[in-house]
Amino acid sequence: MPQGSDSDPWALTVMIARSLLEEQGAALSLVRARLDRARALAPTGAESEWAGPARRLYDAGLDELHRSLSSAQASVEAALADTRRAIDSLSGHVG
Amino acid sequence: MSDDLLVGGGGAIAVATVALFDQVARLERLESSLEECARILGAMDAVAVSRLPGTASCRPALEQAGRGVDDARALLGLAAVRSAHLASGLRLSAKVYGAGESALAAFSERLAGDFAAGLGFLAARLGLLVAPGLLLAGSRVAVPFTIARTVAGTVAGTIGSTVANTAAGTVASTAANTMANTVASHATRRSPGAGADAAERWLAGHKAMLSDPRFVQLARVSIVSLDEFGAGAVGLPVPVVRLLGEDGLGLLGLDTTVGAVAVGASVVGAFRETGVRTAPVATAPSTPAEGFADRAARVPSGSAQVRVDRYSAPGQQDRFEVYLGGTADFSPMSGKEPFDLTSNITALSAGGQSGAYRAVEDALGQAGVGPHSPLVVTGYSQGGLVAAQLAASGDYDVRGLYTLGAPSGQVDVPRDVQWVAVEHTDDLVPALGGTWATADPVLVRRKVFSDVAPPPELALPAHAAEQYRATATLIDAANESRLREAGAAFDLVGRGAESVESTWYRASRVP
Repeated sequence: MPQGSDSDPWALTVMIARSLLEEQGAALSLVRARLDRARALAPTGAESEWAGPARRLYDAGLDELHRSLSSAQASVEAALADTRRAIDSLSGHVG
Repeated sequence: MSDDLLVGGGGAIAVATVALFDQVARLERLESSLEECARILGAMDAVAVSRLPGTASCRPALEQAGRGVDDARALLGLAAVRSAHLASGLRLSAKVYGAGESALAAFSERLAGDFAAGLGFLAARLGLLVAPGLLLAGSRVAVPFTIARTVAGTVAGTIGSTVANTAAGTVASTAANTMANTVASHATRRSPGAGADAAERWLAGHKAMLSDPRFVQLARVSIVSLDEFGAGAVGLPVPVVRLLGEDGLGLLGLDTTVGAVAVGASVVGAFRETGVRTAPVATAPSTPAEGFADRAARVPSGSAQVRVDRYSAPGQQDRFEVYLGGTADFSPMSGKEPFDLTSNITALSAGGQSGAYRAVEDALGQAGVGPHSPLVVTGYSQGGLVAAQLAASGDYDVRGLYTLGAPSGQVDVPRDVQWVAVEHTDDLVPALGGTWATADPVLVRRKVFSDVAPPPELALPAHAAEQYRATATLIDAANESRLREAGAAFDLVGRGAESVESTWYRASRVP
């Protein structure tokens, strides 16, 4: 039986898996970058003389928005780290 | 000084600061970005790879990654919804504020009218009916000169003292301001010079009040109620006064009031209209105007009162932009200057064309502006009032109207004319034009002296042309849809022009 990845179906599968995971990592990196840019759009508060209950509700809404964005960023970051860990584990398998 | 611009009107109910409208736009873009991110994550099957044979070792990490992707997608969806809700909330707040402001303005005007009518009725019955007459007689010379003396040296282009006097008299009528009594009593007991001294002393002690937005708003509402005061004084019941007023038959109004002042003053030779002669004084090549600040900077402030820019391109009809300066002469007696108090009074009263208006018509005619020539008009103070009247006349194809600190609230400019009106809430002059009647400009407001006290040496510091130029710069920087649209419409008149020629005109009154 010939040796090498061309003739080892497992090695070929792992190579394909690794490639797919790298694509997944690239997609998650893209989302992370877009999220960073989007985060900059989120207002931090109205710098005006606007006051009253509506202003308080708006500020509270902005706080919740920022919390959601922070959590989403953390989740994307974690998914990216897990994807890289998966790639590493595949590398270990091949090696 | 505040950089916060309050924008309203222009066919929309919403009124809010440019900063808030900018936040609405940012939240909408954020929502769109978050939805796109969620869509990318939604198309991702993070665990898929682990189903391939021989990849069991990476399954735990990928299952974790899958949970992270799911969490992120759910959180992004939530954040997108929150962004949308916040943007909607801001828009709704702006609309509620705008509707509330409109309702409050209408209510205030009606209340002021009823109050003025009642006060007039009482005043007549108490024998005080002579007070306005005395006020007029006494202040005929005194107050205009006093305010003129104070204003002329400091603020170029202020609409003028007699109108200010009218407002002060109105406020006096409605709020029992002591100024009226002071001037009136001085008028009865002393010479006009003594009246001037009294008014000057009064002004010296009340300059800050003239720049108080509450006083400015009171003057705006009150000035349209002078007629109700008079109607009440002759004994008409309040419902009849309402019927005759602007919400009824329209027989009473600011123009009636100012017209009465003009008629009364003409007895002693004040506010007498004359002929006008206009001639070009300078010509120079120029460039198309771009933006609000550029246009504000082109308003003449020297001896020429009118600037006409002609945009030309081969094979195309000439297009024009005209720039009109403010009041240059504050004397109640007509001299050589047509941009004077007399023109202010004529412009604000019913019927008749002011000397300034006729001067602008002459200049436009000499420049070759015809009834079908596309035209954008920019005017400051009295120049803004004339600009609005040009647009309302129907004699010109006015495509854009841009007024700065103009008392033009009562001018019936057609709603299809793109109009941006800039007012400082601490500037008395635009308030002297009364409340906004039928026109619906994109109204940009700014309080100039919000963080610091107005300079005490100036009578109307927020009316200074330089302050309006500063506001125009803020408008250019504002990311507000109505202002962007209006600015684009203004710039359209100069698009494709291959040459621009500016001509300055100087007009003079002739006996």
